[in-house]
Amino acid sequence: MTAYAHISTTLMVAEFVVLLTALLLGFRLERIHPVTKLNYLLWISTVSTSNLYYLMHNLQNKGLYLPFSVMDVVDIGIYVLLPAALQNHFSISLKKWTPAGTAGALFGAVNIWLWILWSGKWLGNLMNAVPFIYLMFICARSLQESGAFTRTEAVCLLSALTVAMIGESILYFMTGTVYMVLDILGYIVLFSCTLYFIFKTVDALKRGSGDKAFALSASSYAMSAVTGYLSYEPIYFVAEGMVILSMFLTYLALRKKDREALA
Amino acid sequence: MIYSENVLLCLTIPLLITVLFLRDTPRKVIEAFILGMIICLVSGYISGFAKIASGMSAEDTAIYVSPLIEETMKLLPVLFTMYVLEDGDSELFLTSVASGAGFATFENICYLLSGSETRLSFVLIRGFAVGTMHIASMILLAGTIIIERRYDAVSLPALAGALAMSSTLHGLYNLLVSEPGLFSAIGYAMPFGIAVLLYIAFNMNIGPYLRGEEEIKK
Repeated sequence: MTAYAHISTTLMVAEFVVLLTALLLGFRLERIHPVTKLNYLLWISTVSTSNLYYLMHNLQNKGLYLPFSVMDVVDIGIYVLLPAALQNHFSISLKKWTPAGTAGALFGAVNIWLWILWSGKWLGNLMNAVPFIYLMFICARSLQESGAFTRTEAVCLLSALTVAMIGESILYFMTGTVYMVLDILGYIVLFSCTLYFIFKTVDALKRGSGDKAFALSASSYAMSAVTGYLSYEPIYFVAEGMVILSMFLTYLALRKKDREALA
Repeated sequence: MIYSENVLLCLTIPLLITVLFLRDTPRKVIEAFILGMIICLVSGYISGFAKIASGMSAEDTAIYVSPLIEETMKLLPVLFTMYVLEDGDSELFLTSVASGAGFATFENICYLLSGSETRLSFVLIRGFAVGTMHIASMILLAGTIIIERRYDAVSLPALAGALAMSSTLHGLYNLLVSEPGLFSAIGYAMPFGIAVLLYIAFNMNIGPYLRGEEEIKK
């Protein structure tokens, strides 16, 4: 087993432990709307079983990457269950397209295009296109509904992410110094934005409302996943660590909401 | 060589005649069982096509693609029962489990007739592992959908989630048994272990809800 495979295996074990903890504790959230809770627990269950699959795949030394497989369909489940919980929680209508929602959907679409460009796996990525756009649309709408960001913050984040997406697109066609500069710039912007999402989630957990924390934690998960998918090892592992953290933050956010309902 | 189609015909005809003399639940069980066998055959066709179209080896197709095809095909009778027949929860559960049993039975018969393995130990593993896996994945699929129905939460995402759960279970089983040694041992034990856990769950408070016999507390 290579060093990367060792790190990957360790992260997967950590992720599985975190998810199992969130799942077991999640059953005790009694004052969350049953549909939100059901979709959320289904999401956690799907991610944990999927994680177990990748762990076994890794332990069998079959490599870090899979061909087109059953896991591409499992990803659909993962991408739609969390936004389904958010959609129910914030009563978001799919028919109402606000500028924030449209920006989120566009961001999702650009990401799918980049994944196809970089990985060459068009079938799996195309299958995941609509679910991933749905995830990004709902995350953006829930951030808007909960008032998680001020207008200035939203404009700054949107501008930074637009720069990152343009940079990542140009990067594909570049070589040499320009490639290196754009690559580093892309990492800096993406990681900064993801860390800002996580920072805001922790802040909302401490001082804000449960609604805000839930929208922010789900968006942190989505942003961490995007950052991970656009990173190579070993930087990818840092993004994976952020994915694990943000998944646990989603549980903490729902627990906060649960306690708010009690008070 | 015995063709799978011939096996299907041979098994289905007596069952179809039986259906003519049955009513209500026993009839539904046999119909779903036959449907499960047909789905198994069609899944085999699609997997064969996927193998040729993708250029994957037979082993890679079995590990990575077949679970996706088989679980998606097994979802179809559940959707048909839900949306076309508009059956209740207990009928939905019955259809799912019986079609899973039909699928597993037909697959096992074809496996035995192919003559690849005749030792009793392997035959028992085949029965307890693969056979149980198809039934367990259907119980998981149907159970998840029934709970969703109870909360009026059946939606495209919820169905995708249920399919993702059953597909991962199936995919994980195929992945584990593809490697000899400890992985295979875990893989063969996994479906039976899940079936035991589901059986325990069914005999506890959650059972009546899953079977659609009681109203869930909202």
